Amino acid sequence: MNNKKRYGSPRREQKTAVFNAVKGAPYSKGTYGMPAEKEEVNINRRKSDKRFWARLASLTVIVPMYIALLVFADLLPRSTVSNIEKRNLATFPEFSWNDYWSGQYTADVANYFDDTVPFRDTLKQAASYFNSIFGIKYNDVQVSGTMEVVNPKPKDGDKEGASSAAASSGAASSEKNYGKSISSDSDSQTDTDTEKQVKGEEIAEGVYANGVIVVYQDGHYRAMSMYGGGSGDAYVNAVNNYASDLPGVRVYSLVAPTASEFYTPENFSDYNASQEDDIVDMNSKLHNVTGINVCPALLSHKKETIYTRTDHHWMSLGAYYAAKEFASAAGVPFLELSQYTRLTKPDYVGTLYTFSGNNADLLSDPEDFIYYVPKKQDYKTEYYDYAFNYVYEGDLFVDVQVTSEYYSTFISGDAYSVKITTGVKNGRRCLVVKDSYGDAFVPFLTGSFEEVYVVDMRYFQRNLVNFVNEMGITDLLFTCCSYSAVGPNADNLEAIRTSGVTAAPIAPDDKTEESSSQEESSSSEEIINEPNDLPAEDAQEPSYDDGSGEDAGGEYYEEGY
Amino acid sequence: MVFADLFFLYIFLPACLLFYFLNKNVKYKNAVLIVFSLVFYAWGEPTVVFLLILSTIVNWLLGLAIDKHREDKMGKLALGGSLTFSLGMLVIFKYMGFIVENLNAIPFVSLPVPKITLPIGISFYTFQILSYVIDCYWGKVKVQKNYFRFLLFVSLFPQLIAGPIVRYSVVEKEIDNRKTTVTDLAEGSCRFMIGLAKKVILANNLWTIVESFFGGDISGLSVFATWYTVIVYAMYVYFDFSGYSDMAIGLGRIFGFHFDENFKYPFICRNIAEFWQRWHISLGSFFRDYLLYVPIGGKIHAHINLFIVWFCTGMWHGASWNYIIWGLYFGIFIFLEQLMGKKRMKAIPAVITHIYSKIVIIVGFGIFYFEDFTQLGNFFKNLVGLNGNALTDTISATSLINNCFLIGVAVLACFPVSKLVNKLSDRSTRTIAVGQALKVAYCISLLVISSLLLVDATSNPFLYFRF
Repeated sequence: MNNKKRYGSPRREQKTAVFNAVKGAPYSKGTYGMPAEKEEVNINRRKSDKRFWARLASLTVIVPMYIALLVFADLLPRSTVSNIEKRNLATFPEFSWNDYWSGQYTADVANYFDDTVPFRDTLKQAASYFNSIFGIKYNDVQVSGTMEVVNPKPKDGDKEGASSAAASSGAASSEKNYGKSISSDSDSQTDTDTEKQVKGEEIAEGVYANGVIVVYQDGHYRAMSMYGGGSGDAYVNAVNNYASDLPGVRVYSLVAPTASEFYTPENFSDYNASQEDDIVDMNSKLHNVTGINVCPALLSHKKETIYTRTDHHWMSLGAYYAAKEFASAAGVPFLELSQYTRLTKPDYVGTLYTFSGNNADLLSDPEDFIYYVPKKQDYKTEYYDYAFNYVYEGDLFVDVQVTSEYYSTFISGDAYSVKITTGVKNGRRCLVVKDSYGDAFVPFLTGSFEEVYVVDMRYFQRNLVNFVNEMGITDLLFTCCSYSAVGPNADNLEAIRTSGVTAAPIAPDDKTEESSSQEESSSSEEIINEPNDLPAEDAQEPSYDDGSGEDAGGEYYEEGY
Repeated sequence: MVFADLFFLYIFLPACLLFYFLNKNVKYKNAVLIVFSLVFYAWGEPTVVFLLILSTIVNWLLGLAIDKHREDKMGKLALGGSLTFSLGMLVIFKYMGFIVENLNAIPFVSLPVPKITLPIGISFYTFQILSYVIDCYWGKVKVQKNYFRFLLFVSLFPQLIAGPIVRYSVVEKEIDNRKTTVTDLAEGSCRFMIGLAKKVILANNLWTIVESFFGGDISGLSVFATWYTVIVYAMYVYFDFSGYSDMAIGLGRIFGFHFDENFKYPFICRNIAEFWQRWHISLGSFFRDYLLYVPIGGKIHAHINLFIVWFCTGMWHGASWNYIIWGLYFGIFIFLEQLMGKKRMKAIPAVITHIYSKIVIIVGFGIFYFEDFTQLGNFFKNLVGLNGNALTDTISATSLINNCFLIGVAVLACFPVSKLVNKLSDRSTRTIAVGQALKVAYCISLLVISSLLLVDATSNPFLYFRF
């Protein structure tokens, strides 16, 4: 680069350039060099002279600027960790001929360079702020990052639409909306929309990205995945089968709604199916199973922090209200909130930051992560692997250091199976078969059952029917969020019901976890017809990996709900 | 390797410039360019770089043979051999899968579909080689006796993988006699930065809009959403491709090469024929010069020729029927315009011709986008509201408002604003300095912003890599 400037002596250059311009040399197109009067020639000469000096001057700016950027990009210490994305950045690849011929090596070298730019996090934030000026923000909200398609559902009154249960329930997301749509035909749909926009009180203009919208409500930004709806037949059938396999056991199903059920602005309601409708529908199809609908209970506490604003999970308090419903359905004692200590961790920005395409406003508006620890700690927590081999005895709550993963505070996230032995003496032994929504739920059962077993519906590696019998379970609870119930996660329930007795115990190392979650994601594509049904992170995964290299995305994201 | 990548901008390019300007000797400079070009190509294609080299060796030798046996049959044979080789490469590496798939549609035919990955840039460099060999045969250019100079012409990294299709006649003299003047350096680097910004700031972000609406099943899109997205897509293709051409032309100038323009504000055209004189000019002129004037004779044949050209133009863009339809679609409009005649076309008010041409072009980009015919059918239905969908919807309206400045800037950038600014600044000696200062500040900010966005980008493939 230095040499660009040094190349040739500028003076000689100048002569050629000026000469060329005046002469009408091949490269100076346009008016110069046209035969004209002397004066004009003079003016033209002065002009091209000026042009030359202006260009030379501009080079004395461009070249040093470029060198400065080079020094910044090449010579400053490289970033190794991204605090925003919570991952280690790419490392320089090791050379092998195999990798070279496949093109992997060179790709990795370039990826290493791109990934480890000095001050990466700061630059990324600056970039996302730049992106935020692309358009007008409603209430300071804007689109950022890549978007995923979620198709608008057929509207009510649409002649072709309403073929699937999901679609019809999607439009009828609230009674009010439903009534309106019934009275209006498809042509006036847009009118109804505007009407809603004008009339509605709670309307916050939304931003749509990745199937995730970011809205500004009550002084804070909130991100939510939109819910695409689904029948949940696989889930319902599996749960019914468990009930008939286990006649002596009380079986419950508690499908938890996600935040979009309560906080979606009305003008986006066409893109968000009603979770309560689906849950009620699923519950009605259960046989010998107690279906618990927690939507009304949660709705009445909507103003409290029952959901996180920046993560796709609920907050501990939401799980508490759900657990209360469960305890009353099961007829077991329940510890009131006053018997817990409220703890907070500040500066929480969860998974939806990434899922929303690094929405700058979400990052700028972190929340408190709030959780409740029982005051009376008369319980014992043991951790087991997915095949239920004992691993260690630990605490029910884990001190998570990584900000974006605070949700793993509860029972160490989804990494283990858990057995909690409580001080309750009522002879009730509860098995919770859950997805990650169950993590926040389980700690509220320490005053309700004598023993609580917790296994993950996605990763458990033994035959679940045998396991229930073996452990003498009296109460079997299936609990997961609506995405899991209508999505591919539910399929594994049937798999672990019918799987050949006990699978050979496998150590709970990373590999098994990865492979099981990979199976899950690969099977999801085959089974699910509507991509909308997938949890947002399934759809997000590829692009997330793109930036991060091979496995940098981490299991946390793969596991999803 | 691609231009819009931090690794290229801050490792490859500076290294190349450093070595390039170390020595004034043209032979040395050419050697540097060849080495860096091959590294550039091999970076993404470590194996098919040998195909590129093989192709240059074969065609260079055949070029020599054509020159030597100009008068006798051997010359014709050599030309035939070269054409067969080049087109054969294209057929094998680009169209084989497509051809076999279509053959399989015939009853009782069931061939295994070969899985051949398209070598990057093969459509571009093969056409460059073709132009050399044919020009050589026609005696328009002198044969290149030095293999490495020929290799340099083909492999020159600025235009290697995504055009423009540089004719040998354009760079013939500059290969062994060129100079980078101050003007070249200043203009070339500014041109590069503008092209980079077109790609990174405009095209990449327009693409996220396109993807969010056209990325999945489009049957539920509203009329507004469909028009909105296809217009954004048309601009995306323009900025993506013309941005790449700008970068190529700019880099070429930094190395002292002067390539022809590839885009001249295509969206300001008044009719379709004019559009193709402004869009991907190097491809259009290639077919015009080498295919359209292949003498078959007769008036009807001229019309047939026209459709052959547009069939090939479509086909060149991809091994899929929608591209062929896309090419023929433009062929039909150009044919109709020819039937109308220039005089009558001119008599139509400008407003009407502008509206007509824009609609044809925009709908054309819909054909260009949808390889799947069901989707394409839905697209046409959506355009005119035949799907029973709403006229507007919240999401596309929100998207438009969320991106109104981006889209506004993009629309503005489709017009020759920079030409106007240049004209203004060229008024007097004083305005020249002001204009240049503004331009430099503008270009450098574009470079900084583009780099920033590249840090943020996860992936940004060039569209024209497929071709």
